Amino acid sequence: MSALLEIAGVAKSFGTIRAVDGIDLAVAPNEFFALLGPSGCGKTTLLRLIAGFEHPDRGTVRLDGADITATRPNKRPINLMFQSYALFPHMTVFANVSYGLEMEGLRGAALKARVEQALGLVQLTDQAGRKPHQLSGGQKQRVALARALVKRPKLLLLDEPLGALDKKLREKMQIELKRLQQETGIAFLVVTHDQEEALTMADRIALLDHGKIAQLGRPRDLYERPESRFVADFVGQMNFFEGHRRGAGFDVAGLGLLPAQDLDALPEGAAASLAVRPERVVLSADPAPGALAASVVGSAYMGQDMVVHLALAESGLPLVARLAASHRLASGIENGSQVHCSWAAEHARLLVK
Amino acid sequence: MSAAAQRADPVRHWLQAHLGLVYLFLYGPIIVLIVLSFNRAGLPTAWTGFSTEWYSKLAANAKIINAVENSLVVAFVSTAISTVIGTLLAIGMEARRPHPALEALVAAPMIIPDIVLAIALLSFFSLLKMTLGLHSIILAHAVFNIAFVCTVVRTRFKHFDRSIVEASIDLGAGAFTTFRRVTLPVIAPGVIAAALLAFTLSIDEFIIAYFTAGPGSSSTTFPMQIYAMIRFGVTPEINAVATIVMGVSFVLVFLSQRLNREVEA
Amino acid sequence: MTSNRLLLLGPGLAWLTGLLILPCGLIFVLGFFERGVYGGIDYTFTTENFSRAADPLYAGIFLYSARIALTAVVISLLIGYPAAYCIAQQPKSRQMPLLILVMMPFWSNYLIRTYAWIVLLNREGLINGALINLGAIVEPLPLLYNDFAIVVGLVYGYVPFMILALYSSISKLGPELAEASTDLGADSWRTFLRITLPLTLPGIAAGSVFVFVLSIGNFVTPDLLGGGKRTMLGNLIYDQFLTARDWPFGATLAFLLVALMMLLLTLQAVFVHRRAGNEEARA
Repeated sequence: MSALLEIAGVAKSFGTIRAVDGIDLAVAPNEFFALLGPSGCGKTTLLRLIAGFEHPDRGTVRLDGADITATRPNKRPINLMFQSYALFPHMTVFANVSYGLEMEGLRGAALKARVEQALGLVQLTDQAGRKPHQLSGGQKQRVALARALVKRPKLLLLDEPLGALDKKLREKMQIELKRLQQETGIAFLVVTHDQEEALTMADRIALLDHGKIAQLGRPRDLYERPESRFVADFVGQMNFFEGHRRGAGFDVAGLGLLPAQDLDALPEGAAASLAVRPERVVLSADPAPGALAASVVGSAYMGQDMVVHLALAESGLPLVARLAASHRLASGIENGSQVHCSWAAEHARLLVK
Repeated sequence: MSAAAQRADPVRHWLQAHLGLVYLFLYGPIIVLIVLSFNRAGLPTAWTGFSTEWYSKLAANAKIINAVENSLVVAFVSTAISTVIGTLLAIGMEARRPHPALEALVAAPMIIPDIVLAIALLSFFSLLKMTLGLHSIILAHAVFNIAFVCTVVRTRFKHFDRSIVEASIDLGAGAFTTFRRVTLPVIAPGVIAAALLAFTLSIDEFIIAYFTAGPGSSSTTFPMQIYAMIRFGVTPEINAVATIVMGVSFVLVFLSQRLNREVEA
Repeated sequence: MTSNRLLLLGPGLAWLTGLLILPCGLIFVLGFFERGVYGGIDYTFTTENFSRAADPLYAGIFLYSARIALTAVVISLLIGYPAAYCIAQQPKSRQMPLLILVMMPFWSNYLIRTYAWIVLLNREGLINGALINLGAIVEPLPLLYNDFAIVVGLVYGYVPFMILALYSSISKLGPELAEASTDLGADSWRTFLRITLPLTLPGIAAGSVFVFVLSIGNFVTPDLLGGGKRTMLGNLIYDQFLTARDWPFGATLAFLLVALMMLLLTLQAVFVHRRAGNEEARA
């Protein structure tokens, strides 16, 4: 399947700051794609480059095979949903949504039908006569969505779409956006700093770091097989231990030899970070062969599970574990409790960079 | 401090009394003039009865009528010019961070003492060997009005969400369509408010008009006429004309405030 | 986009350059020329105008104008500060209307407002008339055509500006700091002296500079309320241009006025900048 959007070698600097520093990526048709990263990583700049509001210093942007790098934003079959929604304050909901179609020359009954269909899609038919200042935050967002979708762009860009919403609304909208994307068949490119959001909604994620792609892949790939320390740390929570390969195990000072995945890929004596997800740490009250002794220094009750902060015996190194509420130990954990921790080799990744 | 304690606070009461006195100070003289304009005697020494005599005498005073007409012409034209140019200037300055020199240039006409501006323009027009008349006053008034309109319209941009311009472009509109259908309607109340205020400023402006009007009654503006009357011969019609002029100013300013306030809510 | 920007900025820039910068530049240059025999301009270079400005006669007028302007500033501050403070204390919804009411008189004709004071302060005017009727005085007080009248006129004209500038500074303060001061044991007066007043100095500075500059260059008020017997800087410049017809000298005086004004504005800007820096350093 050929790509819908192809970005090749794109770079953009502002003064001495290299916002986007050589990026290649491709978005497939009908894909829900996420650009993820901390603030300042370049994701918003990249979004504006795709929309046409910035011009790249080098590189090309192709849509459906056509080179649109120099095309003006109002001529691109791409639409942008702004972070602030950018609704026209002096126009009704209906007028806001019909605006883009008027620019295409649509009039009369055909125009009305398209607008009403778009409003129906986001469940705002009743609000058609209202003005933006009369709407709630969630409603304003849906107007912004309808306004962009009604033009049936090939690609819809969304800039931090869920940032301004409260938690419950955010979860609802995540499902909404997914549904809209599948129903319309339009490719969505979402920019977000919230990794949970990206993991939930996206088919594929590009995680950006200082203007470059740190890793590109499916959510599962980024979570379970992070390729660098940055990725492992940014996506979800992670425990890190520094050490060197020694024979059949990974030697961490104060902890001895630990089991790890893909040991053979690392040369003997080479340094690396061992990364283990908190939910992969197995806790038991009784000692077991190979398990590390630790004492509990804090815990946080999260409802469906529990986060336990531990200090490993002798070394004092910190370890975070996550227990399901149903776990045997969950109810009995208190500060000072002595427990024993271990994990399977396949759940411990070695990261060199 | 509880609300009750606050209300009982003597300092607050003194302050409020002071504020009341300040308003009395500000509006007292104005009210005096209004009352006087209806005083049959025309003088402040004694009240001899209610009369609209001075208003009818005013209507017959050809000099004042002529001066008012001249002022209206100057005000309309200079306001029209400065509203257009000033608004364009404001939009241009808000598109991107304006150079501090440009900011200073726009602020200058409002900071420089008006007598300096008056003599500067007179000297300049003299140098160009230009004849003086209503047209020279119009040119002069447009200078400070452009700066004024620009400043007022720019404050409208403070609450202006710039992304709606990009949204319009993203939806397919060109630069001019975006200006016409998005930018202009949103700043329109500010533009109209600025125009009303600029009109008021021009009608009331004295010293610059005085210097740039040149000789002859064909270019005597209303403030110039008032000045002549105060300096050289006060007749009681002046109270009547003062009342009318203040009334008009107040109405214009009130309208201007209402316009500018509406959209902020 | 740049050609669009040119279209937007062009007309304004052209107008202001042609009818503001050039004329003001001309004024600056004019001071270096001589007065022509018949009142025109003799284009021979001279610095005589500037040395003449230092003459005791003119220096005296400068100082007199500064004195009057300063008096107007002080009185405007005394009247304006409590008023601005009171407005800032009112519930938010009432503040805007109160401010608009303060500014409204400003929008009516300056001449007319000055004339109103002639009516009030005249020997046969309202105030004297009322006082005599009440039996408070026998002879009318000389309230008009003197320094007193000029200061009253200036204060009346510019106190709205002062109130606006002060209000801006005071309202930024918010009630928490005063509340904290009270909580720590200070009474109202101490709180005002040590917290409110120092923190509103920028507003005081801005208002004062504004009123001072407007007052010192004012022509109408000393002319009408001073009865033509009091000469301030504005009157002097007027005379040079329309009576004595010594345009170069008038230009010199105007230039010096603008220079003084720029000096004050610069001092004020430095003061504000320095304070902002101090506050940042402490925070």
